Amino acid sequence: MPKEYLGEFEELVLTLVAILDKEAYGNAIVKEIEEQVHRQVNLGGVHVTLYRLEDKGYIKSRVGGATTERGGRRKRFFTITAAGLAVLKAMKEDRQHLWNLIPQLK
Amino acid sequence: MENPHLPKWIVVMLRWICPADLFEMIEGDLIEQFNIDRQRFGPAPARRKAILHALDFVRLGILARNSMPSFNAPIASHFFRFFFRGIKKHAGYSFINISGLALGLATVLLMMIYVFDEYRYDRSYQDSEKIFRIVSKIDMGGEVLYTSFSPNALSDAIKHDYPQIEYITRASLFGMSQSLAFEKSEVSAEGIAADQAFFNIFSFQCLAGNLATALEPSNPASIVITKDLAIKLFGQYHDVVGKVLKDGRRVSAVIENVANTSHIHFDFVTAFMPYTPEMAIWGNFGSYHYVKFKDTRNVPDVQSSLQALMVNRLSADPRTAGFKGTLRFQPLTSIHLDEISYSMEPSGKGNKQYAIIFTVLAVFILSIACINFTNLATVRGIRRAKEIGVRKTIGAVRIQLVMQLLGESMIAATIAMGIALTLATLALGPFNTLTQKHITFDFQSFGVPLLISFGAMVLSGILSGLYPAFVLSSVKASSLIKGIPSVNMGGGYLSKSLVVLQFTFSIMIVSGTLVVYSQLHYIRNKNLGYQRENIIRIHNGSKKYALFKTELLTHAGIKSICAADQDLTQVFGAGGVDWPGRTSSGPVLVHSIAVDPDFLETMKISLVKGRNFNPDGKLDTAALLVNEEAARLFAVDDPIGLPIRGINKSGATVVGVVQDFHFKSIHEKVAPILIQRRNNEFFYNNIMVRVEGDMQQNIATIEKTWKQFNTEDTFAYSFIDDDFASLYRTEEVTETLFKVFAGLGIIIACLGLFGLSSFTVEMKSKEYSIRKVLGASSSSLFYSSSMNHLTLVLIATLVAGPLAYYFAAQWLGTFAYHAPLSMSPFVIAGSISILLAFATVAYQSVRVALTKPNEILRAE
Repeated sequence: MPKEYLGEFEELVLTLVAILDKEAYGNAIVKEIEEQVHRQVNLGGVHVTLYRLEDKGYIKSRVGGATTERGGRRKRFFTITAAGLAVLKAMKEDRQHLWNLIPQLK
Repeated sequence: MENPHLPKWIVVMLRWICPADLFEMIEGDLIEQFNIDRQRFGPAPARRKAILHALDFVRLGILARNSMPSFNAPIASHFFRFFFRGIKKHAGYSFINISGLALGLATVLLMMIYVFDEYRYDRSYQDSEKIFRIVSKIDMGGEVLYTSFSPNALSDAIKHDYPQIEYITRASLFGMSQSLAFEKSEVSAEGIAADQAFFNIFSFQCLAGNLATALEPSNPASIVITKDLAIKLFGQYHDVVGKVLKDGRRVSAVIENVANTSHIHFDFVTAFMPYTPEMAIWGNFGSYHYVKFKDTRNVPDVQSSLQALMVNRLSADPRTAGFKGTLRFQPLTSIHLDEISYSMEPSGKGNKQYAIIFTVLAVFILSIACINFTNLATVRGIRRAKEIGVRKTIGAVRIQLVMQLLGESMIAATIAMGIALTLATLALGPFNTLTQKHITFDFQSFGVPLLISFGAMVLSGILSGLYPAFVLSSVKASSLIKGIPSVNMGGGYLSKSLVVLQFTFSIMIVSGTLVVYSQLHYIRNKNLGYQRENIIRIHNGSKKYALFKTELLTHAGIKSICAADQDLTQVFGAGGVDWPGRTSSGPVLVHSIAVDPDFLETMKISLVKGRNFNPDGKLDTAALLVNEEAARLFAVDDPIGLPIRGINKSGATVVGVVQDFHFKSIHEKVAPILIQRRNNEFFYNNIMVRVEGDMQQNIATIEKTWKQFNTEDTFAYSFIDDDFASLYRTEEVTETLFKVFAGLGIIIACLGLFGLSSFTVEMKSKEYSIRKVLGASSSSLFYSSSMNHLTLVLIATLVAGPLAYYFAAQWLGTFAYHAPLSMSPFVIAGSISILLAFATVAYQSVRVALTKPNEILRAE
């Protein structure tokens, strides 16, 4: 299988979907990114990335629980797929391989 | 928990842009974020943040996720199926509809291409907006002469004192084609002489050789040729620099061909030789001057300063004192369509008036076609009321209906556009021949016109779909299915006034055609003061003119021969003259032509007073013939014996007065002219031969005799009546275009009327049936049905008549001599339109009159 390319932001969002396990939806991901890597991201950007990742088959979504703080609107929860995990893993390995080649870090 | 308040418009916007299946969750996320922000920052900042967050969803990643409902496959295929079913079912209608618009669009495309080509002149030169030609206006004591020549002294003056002008060049045409030869090939070519700066002013691509010194006066044998001339002479253009022509000229460079859209055309350029001091004076308007400015803001200053300088110098020189001239810096790009016609224009000038007329005609035809399309499509849409009703009943949403109806008319318009493009491409050849243009199918010529006709297409597509789309889709399904809806459709004021507009335009075009025709008829039959038939003009002088003449006259069929220094249909030569008893001051410029003694006899110009030249020229070089207009200018009791100074060194005496004759286009009044007798045969470069009998044989005789005496000079000839007619080419083109337009306009308008009347008749069939049952006669029904539409055409006639009369009077005003303008063209045009309209509606009216009420009413 040829390696799929993932952008930096895509990788970030995909990782967070994996971290949040079954609780990943738009706001949660924005909040988590803020807390974990102290980075301000836009809701719109996250949404678009999520849809793109879904198109690529790395995550899948289901519609779930309406809550009052959302004015009764339901959430779209995302979970990582096997392909998504594989791509994350492959990317990590590539990184690791490259890290190992940096002489200053040896 | 209190309700979160996202701004309402934000939600509406999101609903618009977001795909339905994503919208709820996006909105939910926004509300959640909004609530968090509200607790953290307070309501107002939260609101601001929410707006920013929401706007952030306006991005391609979201928008592109919308699948357009009308584009999903099953509905789209439905859509096309209905469209083509509709076309098939109403084949006649659709044909009229689409072909009408196609014809209109094709005409507009061609007309716009023509007009844009006219406006494109000289714009292909680099920095064309910085280039100017210096032209002059000379006040000839009453008559004003505009010439594209300017004083010979300009070049030196500008070079010394006007640093604002970057480059200046003189230029002059060789007048007639020159014969260039190399080894076995011999080519006749047009040339100009110019200064080195010519190539700094006009950007010509140099294909071979070196332009930098090609036109230096120190390089008199140098010749720069165009690619085409090189190919004609040498068969190629790559390896020709340095070759020496038969006349000793040496090719120093090859340049790209002169663009068709250049006001000046040539095949080769040679160096302009320096003037002698006598030539380089301010009073000698002897060549073209082109300048290039560094900064065009300096133009007004330089122009007035040069003007002052010229006035100063003219009055300082005793030879030119009192001479009234004005200089103008004419922008290069406006030369082709300038309002003023300057004499000595290097090639046929365009005519702004005609560009405007063509634009107006194009707009007329396009309006007629678009109105037609709109009216017919509306009618067809209304006929589909039932279909729409059924669709609504089975659950079509309004937007779907609107899309369907609008989409259909857009497709029809697009098909029309396709046909129009094909038609325009096919017609380009004949169109080029007619207008003597060289337009090719490329982006430069087609770009903007295509955009315009594309815009027209979209507009008519939308307009024609608008009515059925929005009106019909709003009507209740039940009333649509029941039959004729209660709203008054089709017969409304809008479509009625559109029909009036259509016919107003067509009637104006038809009457325009008649006026143009009558003027051309007038020109063709105008008594010019000489007999233009059966005269062959040889475009060359003969060094052995006397021998040639004597020999040629021995042949049967050759009646008479004369020679002149200029083409009799376009005399340009003029000189300042003076005479005793003159009341005005300052020099008076009078046209002059030099001829041999048989001039009057050959041209059949009658002598009013005095005598002709003596047949033996040597004794008579001081004699002058003048026309009646000149005699009036001199304002003396008896012009015979009047000495005229200035015409040649020793002066000359009037010996006879001839009838006025036209020696220019009849746009201009007959001006005074002096006819001189010249002894030097070298001056004659036009030989006129009056012949009789078989023309082919006569031409063969002349050619044979010519070759016998003139081995070097080529034999080129034309007929004087053709020369004369060629002065009115633009008018003839206009006439042809008017004829085509008039036919098109009337046909399209009548097609529309036919569609409309058949629709009305259908709609009103019940009304007519009931009337008939109640006792209306067939003839009265026929009358009321046809009058319904004929009134519209009648109104159009009343509107169009005065308008057309006004424009016709304006156009005829540009001719010094024109056919009388009577009411008849307008009455005829109106009658033709009414008759045609009547014939169109009569068919439907007959149907009305012959209605069988039981058949129609039984259907209920």
